[in-house]
Amino acid sequence: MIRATDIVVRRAGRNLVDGVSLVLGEGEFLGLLGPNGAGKSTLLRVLAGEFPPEGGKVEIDGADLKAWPRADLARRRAVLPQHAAVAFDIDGRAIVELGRLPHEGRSTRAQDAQAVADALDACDAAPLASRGYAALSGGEQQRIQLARALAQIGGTPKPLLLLDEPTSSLDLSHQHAVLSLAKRVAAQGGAVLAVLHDLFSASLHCRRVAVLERGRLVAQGTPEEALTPDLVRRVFGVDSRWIDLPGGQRALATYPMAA
Amino acid sequence: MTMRPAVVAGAWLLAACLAALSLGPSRIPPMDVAAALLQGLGLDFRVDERTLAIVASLRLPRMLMAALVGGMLALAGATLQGLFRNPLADPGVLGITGGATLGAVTAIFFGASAMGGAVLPLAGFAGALAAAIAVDRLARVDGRIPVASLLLSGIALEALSRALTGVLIYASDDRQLRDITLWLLGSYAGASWDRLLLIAPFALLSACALPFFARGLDALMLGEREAGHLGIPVETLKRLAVGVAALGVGAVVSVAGPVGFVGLVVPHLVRLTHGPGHRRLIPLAAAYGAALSVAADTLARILVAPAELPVGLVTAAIGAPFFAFLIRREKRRLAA
Repeated sequence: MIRATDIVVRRAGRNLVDGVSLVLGEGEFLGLLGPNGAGKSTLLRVLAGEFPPEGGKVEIDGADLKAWPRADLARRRAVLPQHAAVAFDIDGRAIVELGRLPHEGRSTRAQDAQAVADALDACDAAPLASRGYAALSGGEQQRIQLARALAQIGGTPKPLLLLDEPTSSLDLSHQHAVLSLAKRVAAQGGAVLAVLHDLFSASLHCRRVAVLERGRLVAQGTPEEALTPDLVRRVFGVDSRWIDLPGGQRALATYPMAA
Repeated sequence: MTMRPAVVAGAWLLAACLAALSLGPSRIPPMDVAAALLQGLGLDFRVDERTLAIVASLRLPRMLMAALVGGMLALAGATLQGLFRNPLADPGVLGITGGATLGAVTAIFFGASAMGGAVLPLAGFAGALAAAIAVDRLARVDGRIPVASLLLSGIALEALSRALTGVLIYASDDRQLRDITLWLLGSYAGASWDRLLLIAPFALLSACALPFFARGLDALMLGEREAGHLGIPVETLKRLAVGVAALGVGAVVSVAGPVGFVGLVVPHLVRLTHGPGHRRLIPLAAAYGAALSVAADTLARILVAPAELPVGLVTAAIGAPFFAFLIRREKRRLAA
């Protein structure tokens, strides 16, 4: 669905992203991992088409991102940025409704309303809809913003969802709920890429992970293939161990390195 | 937009306009105003010459001018606040008002009459356009116009225009000084059909174009990046909206002087009562801006009759306390 080839982003003489190639196919949920400053958010912004990279190219369905008409792209893929401040006093529902903007004139009022209601429900955000955005907590704001992104791709076949740290402000149950939701979007024929920090939930929920270190892709594959104790120690500076969870699932637990 | 807010706004505007036509040193009952207007259109209602002259030649062009100026300033204020995602933005911060002021004051300094003729509006308009172009050039970084850089450039240009205007004032003789001061206070006293016709095309063009930016401005409430993700061409939107707003503001400021606070206060009032959505905000701000401006001018004419106050003083007297209230409210919101 989306293919990035040899992406290079250069700022002030430094390569923030240094020759990264990634493929994200239909039905996939990819976790983009790496320490602070590894270039995860920058790569996500290139994939979102916010600015052209200094090198390489991004394609969606085989067509260069630059050739995609803005409006078509906006109906196909939604982006959840990291910190979202909203201007003016506006309530949660109005924000989620803005996600329907690209569909104006193409979907009916009823379809829009349905997409907004579904998105609010999926993010457990319906009770927040009538409250002013500024008065919500950080995690509640994040759920409203995620609902906005979901509303944007509501009803779209093969949607693409790009999430920049979607769980950073969420409590534990909502963290798992949001990642399960991302899995669902992927399972229904979409593709999801999420920048994540928590290796435990990434290893538990993502089908595939990609690890960035100083702008370079250093590991890629299923969580168990990619997140070996050696790599985690070298890249993240922590020790780790795969543990068995009830229900036959496995996840990566991390702890401080032995001195 | 449901019809009701539009009807209410229209009613306020109509009431303000009727009051403007009937109140003044000589009172004309609303029925006679209506008769005079119809007679002006060619029907015979046997309205006496004097009433007809007052309504059709004096008050009507002045009322229309007040409505055009107030509506345009509020419209531009609503657009610029949305564009900058900043509730305290208004045409002043872009340097547009400053540019128009410098142009007009230069014209007065070199002998243009402050009360008639086409030179003054054209000079003001040229100043506004020059300022908008200069701000655009100053603010551009790598082909993009970051909002912070746009605001700072606008403030710098506004300061420069003010300094140059100050130089002209310093060099003026007594008569020039009086004309300049009157113009700077903002007044619709120079209104005439000629002047109205001179600026109306520019102002109406701008006023008709600005509502088309509502959708993009709504998306901008989420942020520039987010608006881009929703498919809005943000850089194009910024450039076009600033240019179109400058066109309208330059036109109206050049004839009326820098009438303050309408562009700031009216969009806020509409946001408080009708929410921040621009599809509703932009047309309603235009209607309420026109109504406020017409009402303020009526007050300016009757408060110290037979003399009159500059309308800028009246709008400032209403606007300054409101501005203070807004800042207090904003402070409380930020502290909470």
